[in-house]
Amino acid sequence: MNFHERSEWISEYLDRCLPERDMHEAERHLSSCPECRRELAGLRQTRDLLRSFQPHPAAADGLADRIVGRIGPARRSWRPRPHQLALAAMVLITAVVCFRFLNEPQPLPPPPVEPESRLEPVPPPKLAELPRAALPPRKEAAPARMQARKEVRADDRTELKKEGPVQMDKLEQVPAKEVAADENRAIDTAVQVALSVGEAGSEEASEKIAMEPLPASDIVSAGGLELREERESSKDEISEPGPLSSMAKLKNYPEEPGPRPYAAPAPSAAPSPAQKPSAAMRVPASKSLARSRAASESETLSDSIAGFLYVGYARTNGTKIQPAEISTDSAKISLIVEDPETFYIKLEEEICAASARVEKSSPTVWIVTYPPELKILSSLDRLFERSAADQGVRIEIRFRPAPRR
Amino acid sequence: MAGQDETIDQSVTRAQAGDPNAFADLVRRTSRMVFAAAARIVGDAALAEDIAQETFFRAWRNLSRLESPAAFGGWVRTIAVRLAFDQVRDRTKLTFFPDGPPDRPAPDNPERQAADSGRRRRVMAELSRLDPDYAEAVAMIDLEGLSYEEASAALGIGLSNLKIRVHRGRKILRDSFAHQGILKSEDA
Repeated sequence: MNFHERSEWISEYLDRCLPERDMHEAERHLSSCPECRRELAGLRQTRDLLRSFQPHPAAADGLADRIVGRIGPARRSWRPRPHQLALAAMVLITAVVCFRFLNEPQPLPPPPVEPESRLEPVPPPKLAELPRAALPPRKEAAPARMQARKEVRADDRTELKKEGPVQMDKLEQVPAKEVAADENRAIDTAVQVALSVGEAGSEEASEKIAMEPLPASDIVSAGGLELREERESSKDEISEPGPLSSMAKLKNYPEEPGPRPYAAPAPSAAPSPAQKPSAAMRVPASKSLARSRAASESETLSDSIAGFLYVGYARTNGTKIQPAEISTDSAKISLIVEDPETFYIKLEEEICAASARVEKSSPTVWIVTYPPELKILSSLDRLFERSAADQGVRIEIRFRPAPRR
Repeated sequence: MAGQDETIDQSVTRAQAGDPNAFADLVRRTSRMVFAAAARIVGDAALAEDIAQETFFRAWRNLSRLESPAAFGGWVRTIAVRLAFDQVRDRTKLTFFPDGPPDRPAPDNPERQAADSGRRRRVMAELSRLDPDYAEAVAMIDLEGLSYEEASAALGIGLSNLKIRVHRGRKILRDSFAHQGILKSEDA
């Protein structure tokens, strides 16, 4: 054996994997070659260090069952069908109109309220200029607001028609400009949804989030999302007793016939009387809105999700949510994103279900994403930032697909 | 149905045909091995379990690409090892657990584990920077304690090729450990 031409024998000698004859030959060589002895000593140190660590921790009982249980729902690969894509397109269109409405710069008169309608008055859009106490709650669904807006515009049009054709032309031009401006604004601004589980939901905290620099271009270009939710402590604002039922627009989506990604887990037990019902999800629909309206004025989570769709992710999505593991003080939500490049997050059902059942004021919430390429951008402390009073936990999530390998 | 007498090859074949019970059977047979492979690297039971879960999730999605059913065990082990190295390099990639799952037991010897984890982190960081071929080979031989024959089968490479990878991997690690001050320079 030529010992200096090929050095692999040293590791084989170290591991006693050489044939018997070669082992003796190697020992003789080592006794006369200080260079090979140094090499052997260095490799032995390295190997021994690697082998020195404590035995690995044992797996908890039921490992395989837990894995099977978690992976089980993901075994069926889900792809959108044509009718589902059509529905997604419909949601997209709704989102565009919602954005346009939400970012409307011109004040509008209150819409006429039909006697039979349960519609509430639409507040004027320049909310930041109004005292907060004067701001009416915005509980109406986006389509309802759109209907109200149509009626308002019809009235405007009628009024303007009386004043002559020139103003009528202006009227026709303004919405087009608004749409373009709003589209640009929407693309430049990552939609954010603020989430605060528990009673904290402080305006201060919300303001802090809203004012933090948001790398919108980075997020948008890379397919990012920032989610925030605020849960208001006022009982007056509580409008729904359980898992979110106001997700009317998106509710139909997974309930279409065909392979529904994941069914939201049915609560195994009714919430305890001490538990507060899930507050209506009220979230700012854009950063600018979040700044101006702070925590007192916000949109529903469904609006924000729709808005997120609008920011370029409506093509298709394979986002699936595994049933949340919910205890009295924690919730673990798993997201499975089949196509990291084109996805949106449908957290609302799970988060609502979780927050409704978590009794602890500062619950621990885990968000688990699959696949791992879906990189969580935020640092840990930004993701889970306790409120100042430690009365709740604010969750801020940003996702972005990692570059393809 | 997944019987106890069924070989892994048969379970893999049935799973490839879309039988979820067969895949569940495979998980039951190999999950502890996968967990152990990951835990050796990350040194954390919770994280290792998540890696195991991710491993089988990927395995299910890519099961049709596995040409040799008998290689299933080595295949999922390799996935787990790679995921574990990913975790060592960038802990945020797979998941995060800010406070740790509440139902997991405390370590038996927390002080030793803490001291061990600091050194382990440095060592594993160096290991994870190796060429993946070398890192996987070294991990299987020196971390998991597999025999060369077992590691060769798991990685699907020849014995001599494996020996070369282990040796070169160790040499690079030796130099990087010395450079990082983890080990003293050789003084034989």
